[in-house]
Amino acid sequence: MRNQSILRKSVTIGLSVAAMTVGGVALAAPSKGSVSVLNWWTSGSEAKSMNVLQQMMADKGYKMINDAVSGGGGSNARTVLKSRIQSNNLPGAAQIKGPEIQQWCTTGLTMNIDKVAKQQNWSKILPGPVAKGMQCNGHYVAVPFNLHRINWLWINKSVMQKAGAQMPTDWDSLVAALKKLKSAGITPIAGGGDTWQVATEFDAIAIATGGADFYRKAFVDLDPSALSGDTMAKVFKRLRTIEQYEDQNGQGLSWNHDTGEVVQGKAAMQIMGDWAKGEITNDNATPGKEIACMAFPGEHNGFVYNTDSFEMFKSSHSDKNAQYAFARTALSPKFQRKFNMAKGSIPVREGVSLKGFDACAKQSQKDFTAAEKNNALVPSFSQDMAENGAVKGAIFDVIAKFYNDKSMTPEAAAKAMASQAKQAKMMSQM
Amino acid sequence: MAGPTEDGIQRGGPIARALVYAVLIFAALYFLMPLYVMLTTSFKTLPQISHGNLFALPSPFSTEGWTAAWSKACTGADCSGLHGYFWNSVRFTIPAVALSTLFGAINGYVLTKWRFKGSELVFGLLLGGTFVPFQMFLLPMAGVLGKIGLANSLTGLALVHTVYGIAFTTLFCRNYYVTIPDELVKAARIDGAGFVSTFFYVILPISTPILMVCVIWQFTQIWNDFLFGVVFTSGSEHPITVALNNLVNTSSTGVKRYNVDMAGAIITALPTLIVYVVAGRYFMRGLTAGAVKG
Amino acid sequence: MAESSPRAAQAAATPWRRRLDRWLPKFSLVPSGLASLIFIYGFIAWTIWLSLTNSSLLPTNNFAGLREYKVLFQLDIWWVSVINLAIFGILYVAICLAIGLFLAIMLDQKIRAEGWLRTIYLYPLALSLIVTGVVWKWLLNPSLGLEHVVQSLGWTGFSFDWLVNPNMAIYTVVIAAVWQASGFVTALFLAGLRGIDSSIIKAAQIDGASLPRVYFSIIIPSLRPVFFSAIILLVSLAIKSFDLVIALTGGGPGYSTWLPAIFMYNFGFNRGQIGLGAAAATLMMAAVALAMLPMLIAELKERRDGRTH
Repeated sequence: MRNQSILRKSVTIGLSVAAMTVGGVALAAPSKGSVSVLNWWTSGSEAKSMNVLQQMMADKGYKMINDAVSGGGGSNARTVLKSRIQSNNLPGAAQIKGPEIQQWCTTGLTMNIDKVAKQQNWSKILPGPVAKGMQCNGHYVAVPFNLHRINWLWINKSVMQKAGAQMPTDWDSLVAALKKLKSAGITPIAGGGDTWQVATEFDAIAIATGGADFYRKAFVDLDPSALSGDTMAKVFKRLRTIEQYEDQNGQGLSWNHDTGEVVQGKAAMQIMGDWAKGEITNDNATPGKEIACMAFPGEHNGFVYNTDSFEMFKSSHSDKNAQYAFARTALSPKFQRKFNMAKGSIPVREGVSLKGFDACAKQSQKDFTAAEKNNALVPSFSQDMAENGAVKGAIFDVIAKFYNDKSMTPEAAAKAMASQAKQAKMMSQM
Repeated sequence: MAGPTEDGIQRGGPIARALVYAVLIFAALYFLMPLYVMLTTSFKTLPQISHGNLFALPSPFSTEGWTAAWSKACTGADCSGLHGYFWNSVRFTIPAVALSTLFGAINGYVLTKWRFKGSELVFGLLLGGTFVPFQMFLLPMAGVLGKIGLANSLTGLALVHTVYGIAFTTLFCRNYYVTIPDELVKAARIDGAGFVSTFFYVILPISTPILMVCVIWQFTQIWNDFLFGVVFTSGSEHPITVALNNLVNTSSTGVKRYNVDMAGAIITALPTLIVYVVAGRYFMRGLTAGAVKG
Repeated sequence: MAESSPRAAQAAATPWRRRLDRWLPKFSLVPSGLASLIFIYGFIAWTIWLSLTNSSLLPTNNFAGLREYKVLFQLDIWWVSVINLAIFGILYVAICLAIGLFLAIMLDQKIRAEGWLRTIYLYPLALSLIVTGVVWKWLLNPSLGLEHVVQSLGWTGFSFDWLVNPNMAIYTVVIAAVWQASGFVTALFLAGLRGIDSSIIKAAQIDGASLPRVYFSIIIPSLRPVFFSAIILLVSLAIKSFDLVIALTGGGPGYSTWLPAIFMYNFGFNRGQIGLGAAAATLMMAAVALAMLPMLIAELKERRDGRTH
């Protein structure tokens, strides 16, 4: 213990020295306590947003130690969290999302933040499903940061015009447009990279094809008949169609590359979450203007959401009050505006002005409100929001196999999905 | 056709020699190709990277990627580039390289010059450390480091690298010392030298070549390690490879800046590159002197 | 032995010192021995134990028998990983040895600028795979790299799309990995060649043997210890090939380029199935031990028989 506190002090000193030499992020001397925050936001707008949060906490006299580890959609951060627990060196807050929040709760290491939730009236200002996702046994243990929409279709308008294709309104008109684009010699859809990307497409197709009830039954409840049934087979069939209109050489290239292809007119469309906006603006285009955004078309409307969140841990190295302050500041209207404008998402709480946000963000907000009213709001399985890592992994494996093995039928894929998801669920429940 | 060269070995005529040179140069191009792409990309602007040809020369020529990677880009906790992490790597690499080399030399010395029953077995057991997949050892290691109070510290990281480096240094040193005539040690013992003084006065003075091999190999391995660095340190104490990874692997929702990535990769690799260019000769000499002989 | 010599007896007159010299050597092995007992063999034992529990998010001690192994054997993704390791490991070691030996022999022909060439061949080992993997990804990608360039030079029929072909992608991992290590193997072999007495070669040539023949029947066989060292180092690098695959293919297309190391990292840490990851690690270590032990034993035995004084 003694060694660790010396260590901690030297880390603290080192950090402050580093911060001072950086100049830009000079911090006030810690007075009311500190909280270490493990996350995988290490670069670009996200890292800068974390620095804003750090500064806002410093203004109130709290010290936020930003402990960022990137890579593989958070897989390195997950490894670090586990090894920190093994060495009895827990962070005060860690980036954890979806059902993993409840999974961690069973370890008894998480911290109750009802006090802050009550102060800010979370049960009122947060959307119902999001608020529920932050709780464990009726107590708040995590704080949400944002709302991303997954089921977007991004379209380069001028390319569509050039090919004489109509903007799609449903599945059939989408396929017609894809056909036209292909015969005009343009890559219809940029994509088809890693499994994560394909699963994101699957997400969008699933909600558009089967609707919210089907989506929930399949990916939230893991209902075997929904997973292996005709609707799921139809979703797989549509994925095969999409795959045939994708650039076969695009495999393994990152989603940013694909977004770039759309902006530059080498490809016409991309199915991707709203973080694609960052890449669009980076390439000197405006989302909603040159690059249109629409919900992925199909028979049903819905909103597949993804929320980044931080779970609190009982940590001997962080102060409770600083942890509370972290949660409170993260949900403050000021931070919500700044953070979400930079990240391409929309504020997760009520009462934040969308003035200055782009057209697609405003559309997102509108669709979200409608979906919440119609019970068409579903947590994204591809972004870890619907199932724990084991089950999600099993579903990903089946999608990857189907996507790459042209001889696999949609029916067989749906069956495999049901059985593998069931097994993973069993394995991950002790 | 073929004429003997100054060492008296016949090596084939001018056509054969031209062929040999052609092969060697072709191989050199193959080895250099990725470096060429890295270097040119690091000096390109982002639009040129996303629109242009992979092999094209940078135009306009831009050092933006380099300045960003060195002093501006975000790597997590701060946005001051890689330079602050450079010293972290130096701080654990040097002790770990020195200690693992020292232990390797001692082990090699004992295993060749002070054999005992079972010393081959000990050697075999030590070699086992070269074949283990480290991914699975992260959690128990974290537990041990936590218990001895070295979790999340560069000292702990140095310890980990020392422990897992010994297998390699022992292998190198043992193979080298085996080629040193036992008579040398015997003579020293006859003159009254004991275990320790023989090591210091007889073995160490002739060990420079192999110690160079150990140092270069260990330096490369430890400097380039990512897995241990990311798990056993945190925040501002991260090694430069972890900072590089933080820079390069934007989360799924960030924007990719390949020129910064490439410049960062070259900056990270500079110390090891310099070691190879400057000390490569000694590396060769050490290998020749017996690192690879039985 | 030394004791028989009168001078040795005189030198060793102090008995405490003789006793010290008997124990000090063994004692000086203790730190390394203890470290490997705990940090290698202890951890291996712990991993084996974990593979018999139902550990999920965190390690637990609930014994679950061979449950994890049963599940492991049913997973397509595990078998893909195992087969990939076999393909990758064998090709990687074999090609590195072949290229290394070949280039070393070429370099050994009194080449000008040998130092430069050697450095060029060696430098890849100095680079971290986190980024070189990305570069290879570009080079091997059909629409960005080699295929694109060769086609734009006029050979429109040229096709090289292994990276995006699930059946061929593992071979692209071999290409990039060979690039990294074969220069090092070249240096090893070159060092071995330099250690060979040139008078043997001269003598053979005087007897009428051609240069290739001299290499095949005299020089290469005498490089056996170099092969041993090179194989040990290459196998250990192959087992740890993790960063490269992640950066080059991310395991894809699909999971066609997964390796056991990726399997255990992914299942153990990312998917919260530590038991399954431990089972995979246990099997992998067993397989490597089975593959390497015969060679290790043969080599150690050979040395002992050939060298004991």
